[in-house]
Amino acid sequence: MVQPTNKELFFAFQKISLSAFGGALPWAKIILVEQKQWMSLEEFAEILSLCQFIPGPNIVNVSIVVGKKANGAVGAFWASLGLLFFPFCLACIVGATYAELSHYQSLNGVFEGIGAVAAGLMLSMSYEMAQKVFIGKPMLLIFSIAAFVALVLLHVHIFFALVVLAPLAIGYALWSSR
Amino acid sequence: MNDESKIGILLVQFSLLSLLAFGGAGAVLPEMYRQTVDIHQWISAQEFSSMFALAQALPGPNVMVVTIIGWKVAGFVGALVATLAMCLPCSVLMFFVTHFWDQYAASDRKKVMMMGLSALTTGFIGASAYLMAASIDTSIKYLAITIATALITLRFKKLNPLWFIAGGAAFGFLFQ
Repeated sequence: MVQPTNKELFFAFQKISLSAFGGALPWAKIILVEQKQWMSLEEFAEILSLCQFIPGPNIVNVSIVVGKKANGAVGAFWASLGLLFFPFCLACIVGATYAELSHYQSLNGVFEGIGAVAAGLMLSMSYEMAQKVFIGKPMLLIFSIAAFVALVLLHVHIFFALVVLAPLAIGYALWSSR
Repeated sequence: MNDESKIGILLVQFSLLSLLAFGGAGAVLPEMYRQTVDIHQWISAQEFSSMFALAQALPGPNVMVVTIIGWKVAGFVGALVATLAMCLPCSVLMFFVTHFWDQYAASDRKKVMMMGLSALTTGFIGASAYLMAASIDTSIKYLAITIATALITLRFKKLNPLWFIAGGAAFGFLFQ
């Protein structure tokens, strides 16, 4: 992974958050992997898996990991600050003007439109990750499908899905690489 | 209830949620609802839902919903405390896990373990995408936008997805 400076970390994560309408993860991938080319998609997928495994908002965890790898605690600080500063300010403004905002019914369509696009971006990100993650290891696809089925069809809470499937997936990966 | 105790509760509740959010902030959304709407009655169900929609639509992590809720409960300090409580505990944990993970075992062993986890993550992200589409795409036209976005961004990597966001917002505004 390339080692960005604190300043670069701050501005990259700020760019991620300012683009992140509807959800931040696809933008983290777009900016860190494709635009800045600080890491490959495989490395991003690995970082994301570690971040999902540890509690907390995924994108915040990603900023800590990327920041730390670049420049320790200071890097983690600047990356997360870059991520959260402007959204925090915007959310405060929304909080303060909420009473007035809630009168604007016409915003509902805008939210739906943004949400629909965001869902599409998530879909394409998961597809791209799938392409990279399973090359040469098709059996791992079973765990991916299990995760998907657990959440979508069985309505299992992600915590339980993780607790059950993570040891199985890790165990299988270790066993099959002997 | 005075402001100090409200802020104290915000601090405790959101710190707990931070440490329970395995898989992401979405994992604790039901619990967040239970705490803020049912137990403490800081906001109504309608407000929770519209605050979440606002936090999603605003640029930034969707977890910023806690900022909006925090402001409603106790102004600027409430917003700040809720945000820090939601983000700091997990960040500290993440930092130390990364620290020890980097020192653990042989790197090829780690790589293999991460491959297993990455398979799961891909499934979880796919599931989140699917569930997101299922809840947001309440009509064919929005489903079409989701699918079109996915297909076009996969095919034409050079296009800046922000155009899609703008297009989606405009479409939603005009055709709701």
